[in-house]
Amino acid sequence: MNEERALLEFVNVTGTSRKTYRLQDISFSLPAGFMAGIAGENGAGKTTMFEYIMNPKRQYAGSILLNGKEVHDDYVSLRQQIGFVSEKNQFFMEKSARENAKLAACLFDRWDYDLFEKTMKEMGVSSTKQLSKLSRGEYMKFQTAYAMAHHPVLYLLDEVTAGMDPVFRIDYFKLLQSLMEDEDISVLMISHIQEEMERKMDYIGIMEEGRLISWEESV
Amino acid sequence: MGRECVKETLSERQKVERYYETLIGQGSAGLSPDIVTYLLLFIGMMLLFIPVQEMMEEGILFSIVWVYTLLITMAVTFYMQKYHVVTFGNNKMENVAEKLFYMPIDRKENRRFLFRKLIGFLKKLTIAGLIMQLGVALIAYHSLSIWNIIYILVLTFIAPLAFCGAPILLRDIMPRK
Repeated sequence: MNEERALLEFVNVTGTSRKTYRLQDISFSLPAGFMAGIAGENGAGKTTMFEYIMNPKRQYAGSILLNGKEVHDDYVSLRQQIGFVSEKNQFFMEKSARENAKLAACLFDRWDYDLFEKTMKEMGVSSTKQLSKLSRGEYMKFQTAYAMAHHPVLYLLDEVTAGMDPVFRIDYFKLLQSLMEDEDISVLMISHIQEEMERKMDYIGIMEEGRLISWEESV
Repeated sequence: MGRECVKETLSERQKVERYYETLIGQGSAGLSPDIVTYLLLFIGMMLLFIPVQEMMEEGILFSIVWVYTLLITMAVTFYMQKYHVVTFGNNKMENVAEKLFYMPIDRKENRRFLFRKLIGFLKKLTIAGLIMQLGVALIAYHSLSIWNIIYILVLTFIAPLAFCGAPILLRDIMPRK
């Protein structure tokens, strides 16, 4: 696994913030072009792992590297390269998907408005609808279209398929697979459904009480 | 609708400016903060017509000056509101700083932008205040005092800058509570 170029690396990452749940000595390497899943029970620290990457303030000791660069050395540049899909993501919920996209276009260097509209259409979500009126599934689809539109190299997907119907899950994984074919990108997805991960992902990590107890290639 | 952003190489400063331009261009429901701003300023700046010399002679209460300081500061707060909050028709408000939390925005540029807007507005206010105060003092008393200037600076610049600038410095971009 280490022979391939690592896109995302955690090196002895341990939480330092008193305010958030602390992870302990997390190390793994996700090569470019692969999908990985982190599974674990609620409270195992999966979402905290994403928070360490995404929070503009560094909350850990150790290193988190994206393409070999420490992510908190240049947060703006890091954020340009990550597609984040999560309930924690913050949008103007009373504005439409399109209005949110137009705001994003001002901040993301590689924003592709046509791709956003095309993906929304393909996923059957109206871009003129207010975000507060979307179902959870539609909201996750919007976020996925939003993430795709700025051409990230890494997708962080936080419980995207939770509560979704099986048809949506199949379609969603097909969408992810198509992304992997098109670009040299990686996906890191967290879910509490381990079986789903084992079927779909190249690598599987298991978290328990703030520790990554295993990280291996999926059989 | 606001100007749509197009793909081009922009500096971090330009990105921030375009973001707010687009945000404000998309509109906000309810009573415009600008209307409230100018209404409060109209009342608040009445006091600026009274020269400091006359206030001392007449013994105008210090507390009244504070009330007017508060009015002017509130006016500036409402002026800055369009950069901090978006309001919607259903009485809902959304905080811009919260929405920017995970965004690729340069925090320093964002602060600078907000300070530029705040200071730009305060400068205009101070110039107007000085013209009113010094003009009336010259006409009525044929004399000027350093207190005429200090008074206006405190009322229209220092107090609103301290009150409206502190939140920008302390918590410009923050996570949802």
